[in-house]
Amino acid sequence: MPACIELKNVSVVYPNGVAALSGVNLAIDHGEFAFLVGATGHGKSTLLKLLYREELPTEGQVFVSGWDVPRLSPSRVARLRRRVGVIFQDFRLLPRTAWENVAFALHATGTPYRDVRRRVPEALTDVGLLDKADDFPSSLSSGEQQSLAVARVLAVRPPLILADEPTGNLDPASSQHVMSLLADASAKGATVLAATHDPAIVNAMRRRVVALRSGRIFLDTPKGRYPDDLGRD
Amino acid sequence: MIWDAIDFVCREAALQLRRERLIAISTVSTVAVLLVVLGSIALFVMDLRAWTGWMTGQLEVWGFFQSDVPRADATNALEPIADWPEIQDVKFVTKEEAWQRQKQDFPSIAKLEDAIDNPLPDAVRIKVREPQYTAAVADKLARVSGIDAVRWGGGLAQQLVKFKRIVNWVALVVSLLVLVAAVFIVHNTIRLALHSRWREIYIMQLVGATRTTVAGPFLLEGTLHGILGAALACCVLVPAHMYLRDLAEHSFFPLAPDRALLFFALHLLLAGALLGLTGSIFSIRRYLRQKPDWHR
Repeated sequence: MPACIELKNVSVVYPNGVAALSGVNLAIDHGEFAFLVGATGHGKSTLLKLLYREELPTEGQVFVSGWDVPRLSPSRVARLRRRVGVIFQDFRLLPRTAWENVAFALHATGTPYRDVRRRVPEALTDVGLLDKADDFPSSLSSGEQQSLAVARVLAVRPPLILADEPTGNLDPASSQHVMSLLADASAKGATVLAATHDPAIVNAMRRRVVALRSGRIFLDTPKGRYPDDLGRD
Repeated sequence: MIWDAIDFVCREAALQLRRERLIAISTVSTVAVLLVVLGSIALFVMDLRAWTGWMTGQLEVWGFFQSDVPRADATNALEPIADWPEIQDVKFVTKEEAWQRQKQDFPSIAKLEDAIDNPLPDAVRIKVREPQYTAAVADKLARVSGIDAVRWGGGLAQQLVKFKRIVNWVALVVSLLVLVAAVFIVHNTIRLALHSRWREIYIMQLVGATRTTVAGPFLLEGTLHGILGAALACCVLVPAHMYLRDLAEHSFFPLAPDRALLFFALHLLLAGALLGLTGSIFSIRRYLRQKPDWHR
């Protein structure tokens, strides 16, 4: 069985000449929970974007569940994205109510209506937003928007969850809650790759830690801690 | 599965129509204005056709029998004429009827009735189906046994044929130009409307929606905008035409009948739907394929 995520000698150079990733090799198994750590601008988001095909590698190969991601046709890209739930750093919520945001993701993944009606309130309850189901993202706080982005992914129950700074706008208690939801999803079989530069979260959970510096992996340890020499932004 | 997809497209389109009222108003009004222009041209052409049809109905070919032809022979000659495919109506006019009409039309003749004998011969009056048949019918009639002379509005008939042809061509060219302009304008209006939703379209794809899933509601929305715009144009054009038709009912320029307006309205609604649909198809393609500038 192929690894859930596999990067082989991947490099990404942006049109302005900036090398976001250089020769990255990484394999993450199904059901694994891993943190991707590194200072801002050192390639965490770029690596995640490769996995749901928002970016293409300049060199190397990217596989998700055995699928050669850069070579997917547009219809296959949609199928890939149904299997990959992404919690975006900038939330990327639709200008619709909280309920409709979660419901759209379920509809997009082909969930029948009766299941949508059941799973939306469940997901909103999990993140404590059920009482704001009819609110638009513009009327939610940053933390609430982030929670909604988390609910949107958890409702779909994808086999792979990519989280880009999932706790960046949350208070410590909410951060712990969101991370416990992600850990639950992992315990149920989902693979989770969470990019963060929050040492408290990483050190508390003691999961695999992959550290990036200047677009290269310089540390990859199971049950690791946040590297002291990485620094915070 | 397919019903879920249709249900989803309908719900999404309804949601967008409800939420994006400003976009709906701008698209619907643009389509309405364009279809008022296009519909006016179509109605003008319909009316000109109705008029040329009416004029054709006024065109007559007269054949005058030789004075020594017995009336029985003259009426017998009518039977094969009635079978000619080009003619709409044929009528035998006796010289007495013709004389009577002359006296009605020219009262001065009536005063001289005692002084002169009826100089008119028996005649046949033919109405043709189309003006272009007039010359051929006149030619055939001249060769009928017993016919002495043939009279027809040759110049007018030929002018009418030429006029009808020019009107058809001008209408076709102008309609095509307006149609191309309409498609272009509607496409740009919808594109501007979609531009504000570019990120939304992109996010939908990021969460796994296929291009069809994303495009479906937008296409339905565009089609509905087109139909609404066409309905508005119908609300302007149909009553206006009915009013003008009432005014022109007994004039020399009768307009297209009201029953023709039903077909006109149906065609206008179809045109509106197609305008909205094609405009949406052209517009959405771009936004499905390109990534928005996220930081702008």
